[in-house]
Amino acid sequence: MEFPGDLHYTKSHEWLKVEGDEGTVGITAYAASNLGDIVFVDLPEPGSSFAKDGVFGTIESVKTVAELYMPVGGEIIEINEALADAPETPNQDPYGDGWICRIRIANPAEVDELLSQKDYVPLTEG
Amino acid sequence: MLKRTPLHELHANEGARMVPFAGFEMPVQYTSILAEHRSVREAAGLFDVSHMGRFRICGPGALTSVQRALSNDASRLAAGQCQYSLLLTQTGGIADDLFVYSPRGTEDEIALVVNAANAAKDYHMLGLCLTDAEMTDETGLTAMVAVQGPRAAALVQGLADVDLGTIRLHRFATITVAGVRAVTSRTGYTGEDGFEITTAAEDGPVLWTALRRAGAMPCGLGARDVLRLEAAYPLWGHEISEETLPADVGLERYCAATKDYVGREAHEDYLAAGPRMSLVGLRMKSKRIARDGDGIRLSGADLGSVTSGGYSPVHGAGVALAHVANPSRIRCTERAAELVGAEVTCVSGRVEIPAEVVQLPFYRRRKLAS
Repeated sequence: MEFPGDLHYTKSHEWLKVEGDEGTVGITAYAASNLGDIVFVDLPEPGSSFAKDGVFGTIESVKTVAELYMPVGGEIIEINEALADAPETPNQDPYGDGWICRIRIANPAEVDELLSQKDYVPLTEG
Repeated sequence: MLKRTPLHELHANEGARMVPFAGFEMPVQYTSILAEHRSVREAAGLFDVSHMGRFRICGPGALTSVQRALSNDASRLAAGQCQYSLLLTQTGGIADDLFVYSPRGTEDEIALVVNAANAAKDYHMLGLCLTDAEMTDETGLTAMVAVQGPRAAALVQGLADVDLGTIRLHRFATITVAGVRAVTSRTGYTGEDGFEITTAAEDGPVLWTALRRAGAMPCGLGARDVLRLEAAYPLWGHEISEETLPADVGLERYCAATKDYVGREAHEDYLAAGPRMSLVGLRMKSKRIARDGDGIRLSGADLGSVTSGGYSPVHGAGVALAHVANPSRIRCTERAAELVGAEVTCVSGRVEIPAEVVQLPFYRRRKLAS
C-alpha cells in the first residue's frame, strides 16, 4: 500500500498536499481500503470554512459511513465534481484522480502539526 | 482462538480479507463487494458457508423430536425436500432460523443447517427435545459452499453427474460434483437461483477449486450481506432475534397449526392478540444511507428503527429493513401495506435522511423460462 512521501497525513487518514497557501485534500489508500467500495462522497459548497479537525464531509461506502476531517483549518475553494458520478475514484486512485477538495490554508503553522509519511505509516499497520 | 473452515488456505491464496465471524475466520471480500455482488446478480458467485452449523438427527424418534423442537411441519417433507423453519424459545422468541432436510422422507433421519452464530445454542436447545434419537454435529466433518447466480446451474451442471433440472427449489440430492460426493440443494441466501453443496471436509478444496476453474467468482460475507438485504431475507440478530416473535416480522406462516412445538402457545397467543411491531422496507431518497440502529420518524413521531441498512447496487440507493410500531396490532403484511409510500425520516446521528417505505423485497430475480 502506497503513502507518498511528499504528502502530510492526519491520524484520521486524510492527506494534504501543500501548494503555497493552498492545498489538496484526500483520503489515504489505507482509509479507502478500509471503507471498501465508496458509493457517495458528501461535500460542502465551496466558500465554506472549517477549523482544523472539523468535519467537512462524509463518505458513504457499501458497508459503512465515515466523516472527513480537515487536516488544517481553511476555506473550501474547490470540490472534486467528478466524484458525484464516480464516487469510487478514491478506491482506485486515492492520491490522484480521487482527490476530494482543494482548500485555502488559513494558518500555515498548522501544517507542521501533521504527520510525515514516516510517522503515518505505523498507523496503518497492526 | 478463531476456527478455520476447510477452505481457509484457498481464501488466503486468493488474497481475501479475513475477519472474525461467529468464531470463525471468514473471507469478507476478495476484490470488491460491488464486483462480487455483480457476479452473483449477473453470473455465478461462490461462497464458503462451511461455518454454518450442520447437524444430523438419527433414530426412530428423529422426526418426532424435530417436530417438537421446531415451528414448521417437517412431516410434510418428501424425500429430498427441505423447508425453512424457526427454533423458538418458550416465550415465542426466535432463537434461530434454519433449514430442515429430509433425506429419505422417513421418520428416522433429519438434517439441519443453522446459523453459525447460534450453532452451540441450537445444539443445546435441540438436544433437550430429543427422544429416541441422537444428534451429531457434522459441522467440523464437512465443508459447504454456495454457488449463486443466473449461471450457477449451468456452471455446476458442467461438473455434475446428474441432470440438475431434477433438483428443483428446496430439493436436494446426494450426487457427484467435481468427482466428490456432494449433498446438493437448490437453496441459497442471495435471491438468485443456485445451489448449496456439502462435502466431506477433505473434499472441500477440490470442489472449490473446480468451481473456481469453471468460472465462479469468489464472494465474501460483505457481498453476501448486500445480496440478502436486497432480497429482504432476515438476518438473525437484526430482523429476528429472541426479542422478536414470528408474527412481528410476518413469519407466522412458518409456524404450523397442526402440531405441538416449543413456543407454540406463546406464538399463537401473540398472533391472536396482534403483533406490536411490523417489518417494512425503506429506500433512501438522498444519497445518504441509513444504518442499523438508526431511528425512523413519520410526521415527526417515532415510528421505529432500522434493523439492517446498506447500499443496494440494484437500486443505486440505500435501502433498509426496519421494525416499525404497529399500534393497531394488525398483521405484519397489513401494517406494511398501509405504510407503503409513506415518507419517513431516518435519523443517523445528527443527520436526517429522507426515505420512502417500499414493498419488499427490494429485488426479485426474473423467473427463468422453464
